[in-house]
Amino acid sequence: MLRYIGKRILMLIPVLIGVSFLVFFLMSFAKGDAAAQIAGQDATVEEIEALREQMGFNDSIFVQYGRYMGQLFKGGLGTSYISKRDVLKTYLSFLPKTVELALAGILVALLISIPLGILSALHRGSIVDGVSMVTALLGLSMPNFWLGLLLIIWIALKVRWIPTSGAGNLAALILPAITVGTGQAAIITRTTRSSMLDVLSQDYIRTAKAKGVMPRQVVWKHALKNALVPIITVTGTQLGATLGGAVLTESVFAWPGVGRLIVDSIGQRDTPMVTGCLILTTMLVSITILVVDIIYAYVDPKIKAMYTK
Amino acid sequence: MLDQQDIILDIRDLTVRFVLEDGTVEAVNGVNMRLKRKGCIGLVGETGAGKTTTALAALNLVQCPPGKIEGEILLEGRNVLSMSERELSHIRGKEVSMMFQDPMTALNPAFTIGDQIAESILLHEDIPHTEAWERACQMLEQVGIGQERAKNYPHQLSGGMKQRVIIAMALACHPKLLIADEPTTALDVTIQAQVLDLISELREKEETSLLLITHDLGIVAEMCEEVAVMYAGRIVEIGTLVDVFNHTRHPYTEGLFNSLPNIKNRRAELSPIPGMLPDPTKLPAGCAFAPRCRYATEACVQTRPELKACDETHFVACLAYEREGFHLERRDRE
Amino acid sequence: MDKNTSSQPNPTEYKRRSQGQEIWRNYRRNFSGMLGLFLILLVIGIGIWGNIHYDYDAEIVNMNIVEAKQKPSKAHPFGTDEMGRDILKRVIYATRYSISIAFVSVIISSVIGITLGSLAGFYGGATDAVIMRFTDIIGSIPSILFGITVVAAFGQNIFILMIALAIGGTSAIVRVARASVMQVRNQEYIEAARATGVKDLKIILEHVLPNALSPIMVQSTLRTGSAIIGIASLSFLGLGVSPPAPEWGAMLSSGRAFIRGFSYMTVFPGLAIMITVLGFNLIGDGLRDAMDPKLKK
Repeated sequence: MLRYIGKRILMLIPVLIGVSFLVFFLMSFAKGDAAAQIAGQDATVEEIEALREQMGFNDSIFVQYGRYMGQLFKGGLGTSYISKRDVLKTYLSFLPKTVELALAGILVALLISIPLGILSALHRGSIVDGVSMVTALLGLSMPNFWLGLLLIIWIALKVRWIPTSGAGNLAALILPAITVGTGQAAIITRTTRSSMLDVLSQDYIRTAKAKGVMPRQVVWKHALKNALVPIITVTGTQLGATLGGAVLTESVFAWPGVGRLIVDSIGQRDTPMVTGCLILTTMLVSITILVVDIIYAYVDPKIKAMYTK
Repeated sequence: MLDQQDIILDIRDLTVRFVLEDGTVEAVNGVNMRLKRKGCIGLVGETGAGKTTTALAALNLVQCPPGKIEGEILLEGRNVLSMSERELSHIRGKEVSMMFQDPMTALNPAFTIGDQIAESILLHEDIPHTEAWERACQMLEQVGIGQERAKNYPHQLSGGMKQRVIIAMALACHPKLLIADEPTTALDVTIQAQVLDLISELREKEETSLLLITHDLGIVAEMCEEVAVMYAGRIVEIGTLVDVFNHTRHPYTEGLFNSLPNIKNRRAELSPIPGMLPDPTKLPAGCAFAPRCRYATEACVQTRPELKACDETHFVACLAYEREGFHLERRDRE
Repeated sequence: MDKNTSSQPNPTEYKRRSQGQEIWRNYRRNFSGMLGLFLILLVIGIGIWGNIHYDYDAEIVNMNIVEAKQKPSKAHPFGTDEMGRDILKRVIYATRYSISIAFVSVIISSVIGITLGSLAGFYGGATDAVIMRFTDIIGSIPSILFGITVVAAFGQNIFILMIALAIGGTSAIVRVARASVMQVRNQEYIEAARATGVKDLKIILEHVLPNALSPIMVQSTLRTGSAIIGIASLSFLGLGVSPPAPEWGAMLSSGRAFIRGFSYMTVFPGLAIMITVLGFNLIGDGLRDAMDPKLKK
């Protein structure tokens, strides 16, 4: 088992290197002069030029990248051009808010989608099924930032104590979490339903009924455990995506998370910050997916057997 | 006449229809059947004849809708078809157990076999988990699987072993009636013999009645005392083993025997029954077997034959016997 | 040899033709699929009409402060925005951007995706490993961040948007194409074709792809919906279609400042996005059901 985890982490490294090069390469085309930004408004042309020379911006892209990688291996993601602060530290300071939003969002999503998905599967073809599937489809079709705006219109403007921006108190988490969670719920509900339908048509469910298992137990004990794998997959990918920074939701609600950090840094042409953050984001997303795979092994005995050989 | 006390399963006028988009499937059409305590009856017929549906109805496991059931099924005098879910969950697995056709998919892949057998016990007896586990292991021993495998998952077992686990699960609470639906069809021939022996052995020990569903006449001969032959959802011939095997009366049954390869005459051609099973959504008004029957007359196509007695234990549903001196080509044996 | 064999359809062609007809017949019976088709045709139809009918300068971008911020009324069914422009007309006109950018980007990513996926699935081994590494690299970056970076790098114009969205969406199609091709490739008739010396490219084009096409088509349709949301998202952040050209996401962004009291500005453009994406999702689901009834939920 440990060997498998080790292998997966090892395979991550070429991907991270690829990501870093890709991002670095793209940022190098960005118009807008980082040197000018750093030097400030009052700098003269000579000063900016000197700064550019000093920071190595005149070297070829490959040299710059090589320098960046060298610094990376010495154990640092560098410092931001703009704020002069350490990239890693800055990222980590924004991360908790993103994690908070991601966890709250997935919680909202799971609370809605699993019961709804199971209910739909059990009453396939009924009104409950129809309504929940249509709602899920609508949820999938709307951009989540629009949902955020609608929530502001319907709720925040009417209920005074729910803030529309910032992350001041717990109440501020409500609308962003619902915004994030609803979109995720749409996908997870559909997956839950189809996975349950699949499992419920299996022979071993008939065996359970013939043994005398009561209907509720058949669903929650016999069926659900087997239906979990696709549900966990989808939950994991959704969670991973939000941890990568729910850029749009953070924008609508001015939520101070990683997404905003990255978007602002791109705007400021702060290459080390952007590159560093994207590497960290990719790492975080990949690790989330790895954790999901490990959870599989504990849910599905067949997979566990494969990994512990 | 049989005393009501002696009858463990009494199926009365059972009719099961499935209302689907493409038409209504008439799966079971007026089936009457009685099984004595400690007895064994074989339910024979081709795939699609309605045997499995009849068996499922005995446990009230038919999906309704789209199914519609009429008639009564009395288990020790109580009508299964009018019981509540709660009552049904009490009798399923305890008074009557069912074993299904395909052992490969009948076990839940997410639980150990020990757990699955123990669950059968825990569902019906209020004993501590450890005791249930003990008994589950004992059941495994009885079916010839070592106790150390109780912690295995189904995918770690072979087909034959899975079927034995299913037998263990079915008999764990010593039911009075076991319904076995094609218990050996999906298995190798050598394993078939083992499984049948096991079922016989356990039956004798617990004095369990057996309703055995199969398309294999050889198995019926080995295991059963009575035989019922089904065609297109109806019983066309029913009687003791001797009645049906040695004094065959119905043309369809004759056809089944004739289609068996003759080991004494290896060079003879196989003689299957010509034609195909009728479409269950479009059953004819008359005898369902008439299109394939070499003895059929105009009357057969018009009128549905009812089961009539040939003698005390033997009944057949065939209009031909209203003609003087009619008999099948297949000769009676002693 | 009969010289008139050209009048007989060759087996693959015949299969493809009747397969297509079969799929269409199944699809026609699917209510939600047909609804989706109807919605999309409606949206495109109205969009085209609007683009022909409306005068860009006079009706779409002309500022008319006198009429600014008017709530929905008979004269302006969707109201007017902060510059006095009729929102209904702008919403209709904006269809061209979303639809055209989405279509082009999905076509590009489908072509690239199918090519890469087929090569990876068909040849396996090193080819597969290399292609999948690249796909993983692009796929690991959250698509919106990728889009923002590309726009920041290369500027904010329609072609860049198309390419950014295309590349961002390629990884999904590569994966589906690869899985599909791998499944078909293992069939015996492919082995037979290779054994008799038929050239690889011919095998891929004539035998593998037609059979692997169903999941790819479903995925592409669903990707179109995602692309539309992607365009709206980038525009919402100010990185998509530049003002004063109307774009649904951009309209949401500017309407946001007036959310208190003038909420209609944020309702209608969003509704347009939802209906359009819904249409594509319905078509995708309908295609999935039509192509493999076994998967019907």
